[in-house]
Amino acid sequence: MWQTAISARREPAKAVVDGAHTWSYAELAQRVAAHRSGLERDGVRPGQTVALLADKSAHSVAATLALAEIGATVFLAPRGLGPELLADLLSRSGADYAVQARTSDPDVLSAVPVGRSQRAADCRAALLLSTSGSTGVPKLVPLLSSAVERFAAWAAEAFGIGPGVRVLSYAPLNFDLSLLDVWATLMYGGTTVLVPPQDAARAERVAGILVARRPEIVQAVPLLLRLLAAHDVPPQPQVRHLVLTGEAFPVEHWPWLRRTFPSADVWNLYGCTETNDSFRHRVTQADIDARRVPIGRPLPGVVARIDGGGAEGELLVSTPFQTPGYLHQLPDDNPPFFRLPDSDRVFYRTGDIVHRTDDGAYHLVDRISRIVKVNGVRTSLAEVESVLADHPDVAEAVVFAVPDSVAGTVLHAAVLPRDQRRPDTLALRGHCRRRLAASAVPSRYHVLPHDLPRTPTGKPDRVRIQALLTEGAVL
Amino acid sequence: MTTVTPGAAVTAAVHDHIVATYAPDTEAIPHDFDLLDGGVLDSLALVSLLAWIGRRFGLPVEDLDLDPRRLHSIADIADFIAANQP
Repeated sequence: MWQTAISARREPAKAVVDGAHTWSYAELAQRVAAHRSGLERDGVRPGQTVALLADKSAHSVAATLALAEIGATVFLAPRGLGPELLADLLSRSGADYAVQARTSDPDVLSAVPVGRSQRAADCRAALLLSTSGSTGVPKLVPLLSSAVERFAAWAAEAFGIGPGVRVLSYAPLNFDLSLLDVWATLMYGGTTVLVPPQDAARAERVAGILVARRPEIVQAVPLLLRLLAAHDVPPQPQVRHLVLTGEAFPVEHWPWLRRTFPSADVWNLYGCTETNDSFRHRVTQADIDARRVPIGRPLPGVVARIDGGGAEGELLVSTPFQTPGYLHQLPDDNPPFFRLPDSDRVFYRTGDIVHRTDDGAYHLVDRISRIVKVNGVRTSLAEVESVLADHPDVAEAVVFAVPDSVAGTVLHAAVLPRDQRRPDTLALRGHCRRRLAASAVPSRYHVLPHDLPRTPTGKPDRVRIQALLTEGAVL
Repeated sequence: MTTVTPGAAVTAAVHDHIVATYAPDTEAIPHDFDLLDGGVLDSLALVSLLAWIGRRFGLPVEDLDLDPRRLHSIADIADFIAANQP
């Protein structure tokens, strides 16, 4: 099983570093053994599903490994969910126990039974992840031990993870990114440097960890770069690989990124929770000059197809790392996991529109499902765009949804004026209001005087437009 | 029934808050502009606006007999504040 690669290690090299603890592999093994006996005393048995409801820490890493050694499926549950959503997720996961930290001492983890309402249907999974709930209800994604092992083998090879190699772990433990920066790192003898959750939004704390712990591999969502770019971070020449994933590549931060990570290979990595990473591209100056960074080519063992067989369409992928399917998947008219007539592999419908250029590189163009919920109302972004484009002063409009701490989701509109007539944004609001539901009226308007960023086929590049225009809104 | 005329300061404060919070891409909104029909406020935004009015002007908004549909414009809102100020 995947965790035996970690528990077999006894070397003195550091395994886990977090704010409070630095453990060697031997110390990690001791902590795992201690957690294991505690969890067994609490009643955890092989074959059960156990939800980990603890923040990322050296101890929660040890507890996860202890659960895996017992032979339980570990549900790495998202943190910060509302009580109702969490109860629903726990119920659907079929969890028998939830592992929680004691409030008085976050290092003490114990398992408490949860009222299980759904038996996990033969859940032989090693790990259970959930998709992010930005659209609709989070889905449960079981990962088999063999898939975790294959992914770790790829990651170790691709980024040179081996004994003593320090890897920064920025994302929460329940994110699929942890498969690389925590689990693959430990399986191959590296040192995982944890950014504690309470420090993740504080640039000076993250910078302090970079300076003190000198990670050689940094996997980051663009949010981390934006955070650090606004802070005075000294150059990090020890970083060999800087891996960007999760959203459009932040082209505008390239000069800063080159100064701060002068020796790093910079990668654009594409994947989703269902399939794990599936494309990789080494970012070059030429990509930046073209202001367009591809997701690159499929990883070894990954098969990619474009729906319809052309050069542009929905991306279908089959990876060696993917889930066998959602847990408790309801019947679906358009199932995300399916077979193609000419292949014996199961493909996953990504929902992403890609364009394949003549050199074989794939570019992300758009999301296929352009339906979002605003104030609980299903809203078609395409419909709002066509209403805006009907306004006499508007040549073209792109509408996108942005998470908002107060309203949940708000719509932004990027507007290209017609014939140099700068539209009055108050008039645009009224124009939309007369033709659309109140919730479908965009809250923010960005008038772009010259042109919209475009894809090679001349369509608005929605991924880049959103990344550029919400730059200031994210932090 | 007495009519209380709102001070210019109240009207300006309401105007600036609405522009900053709900329509930062505009510079000015006419005081008689219909905020609901004009797509600046929806019912949810109106609730958050009322909460702000309560805090900013010390009005017991929850206790007032209030028909939000009467608060269509910046002028309406300023009148409402003036009429209910303690």
